[in-house]
Amino acid sequence: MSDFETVIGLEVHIELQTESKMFCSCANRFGDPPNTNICPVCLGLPGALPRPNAAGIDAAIRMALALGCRVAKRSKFDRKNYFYPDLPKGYQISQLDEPIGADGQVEVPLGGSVRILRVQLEEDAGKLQHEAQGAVVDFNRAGVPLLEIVSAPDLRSPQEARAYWEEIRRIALALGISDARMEEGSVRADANISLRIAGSEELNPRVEIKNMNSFRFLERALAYETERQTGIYRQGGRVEQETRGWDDPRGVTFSQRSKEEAEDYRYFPEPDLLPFAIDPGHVEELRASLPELPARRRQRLVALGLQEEQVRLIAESGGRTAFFDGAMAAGGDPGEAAKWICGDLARLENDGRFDFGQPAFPAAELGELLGAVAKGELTGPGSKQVVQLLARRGGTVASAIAELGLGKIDDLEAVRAEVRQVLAEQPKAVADLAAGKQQVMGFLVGQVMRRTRGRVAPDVASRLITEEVGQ
Amino acid sequence: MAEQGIVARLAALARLELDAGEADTLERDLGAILEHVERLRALRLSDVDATYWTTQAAQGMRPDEHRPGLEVEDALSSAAARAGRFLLVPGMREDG
Repeated sequence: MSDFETVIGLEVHIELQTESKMFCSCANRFGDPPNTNICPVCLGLPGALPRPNAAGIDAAIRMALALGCRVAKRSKFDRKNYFYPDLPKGYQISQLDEPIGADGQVEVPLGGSVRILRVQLEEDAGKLQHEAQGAVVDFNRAGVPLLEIVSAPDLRSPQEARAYWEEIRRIALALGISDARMEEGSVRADANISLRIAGSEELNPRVEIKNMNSFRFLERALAYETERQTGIYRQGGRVEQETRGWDDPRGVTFSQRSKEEAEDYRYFPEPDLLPFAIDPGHVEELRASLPELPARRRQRLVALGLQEEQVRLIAESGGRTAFFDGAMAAGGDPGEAAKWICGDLARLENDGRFDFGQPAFPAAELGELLGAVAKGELTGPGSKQVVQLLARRGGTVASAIAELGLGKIDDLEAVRAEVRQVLAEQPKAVADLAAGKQQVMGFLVGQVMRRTRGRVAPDVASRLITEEVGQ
Repeated sequence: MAEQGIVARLAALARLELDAGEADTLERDLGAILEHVERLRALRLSDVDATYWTTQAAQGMRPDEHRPGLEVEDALSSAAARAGRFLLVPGMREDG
């Protein structure tokens, strides 16, 4: 073989954020003490019968619509049989041949268009921890609704696979159907990867890498597999169809077991659940309720002239997008609003001191702030203090300016008096500046800011310092 | 007839304790069921679709509300082994 092409398909699993589990009324809640949210249904006790959660079905329909899928008029559940201690019934309720959604497509940043084969509902398994005395099982997660989104093998590189997965996660967040927390395992992916001669249509034996919960792991594991399989073909060998695990510390995949075929799971229609109809009218209602999706958000932000990184940061969060839109509506300049959202406010958010989803002050106040700066009523440094105060206590820009005493000092002679005071207190810096050390200028401007609590525009301060020192 | 000893084997797998009388009764019942299934095999069904459900009704849905289920002590009381609030099972390879 000469030049190879990587062929990757992804199965993304997303835990739905419902009140209750998929087939019983146990709470669907992460972080409770082990085996708190359990009942005869999710423990698979004899005689217990499942009943589907309407909200789980709706979430699946909404995801199917967001991915441009055809929504089935009739759907059903099937049993997927396998034996493992995290699966108390000995089978998982899943969907085989009548999934809720099929034949969709999603546009992935840098990755082009990826076909979606199916969107189906199933239930999550419990959690197994391996310990010295054996394995311990917590069934809180058993029966939590799990959405499985299966892509066609349309991805051509580990980077594309990652971009696709990230986009699916962003869509789930935009729809509000999942908290999509990677660190809690709410979003996981299985990847199928094979190689073929570039341009050919054949599909070679594929390796499945299961249960990854990090974008970085996925990208690294797929990069490793590409090299491993290339090496095998170059030496004239054959790639085994199998499941491999990813060992991140060692940076290698390792053989786990030969790949199951569907027959191994002895699928059959779930006898405890009847097929169900999906009312087209209801589907249209759900379609009408879809929020703006990330791809559309990005287009809109790009059209406003924002920088690529700003677009990415704002569009990936519904809260940030809404905040940005709110500031725009209040007359803010798009570029300036983006700077605040991706700068000071994003930093406050990272420190847990601001939440775009439940902001301490309305987005319109950011618009007000930008207006005040543009009109020269507030300096750059002063505006930072205002935002800090608003993030801490809420309120309005006007009240914060008054409270902080930040009205800009417009009287040039008053500013000059402040500058002279600073220069008198900093003879060494003045000498250095006079000797041509321009780097002390920042320090001196900072001193003026400190003295005036940011009420002087930095460029005015700088100009007056130059004038004063030059005299 | 059911295979000799099959009930005892199934009971062991299901962790059921049966006395001799119960085992005999179950073995007789199981034998009768298997005989009946054997008779059904005589039917020619190659052109009949499988019947998975015997009703045309559609599945009803449940509103998304949660309520308490089992207490952990009740749930684990039938477990063969436990470790605190966890069910304990024999160790196995991580990959399953």
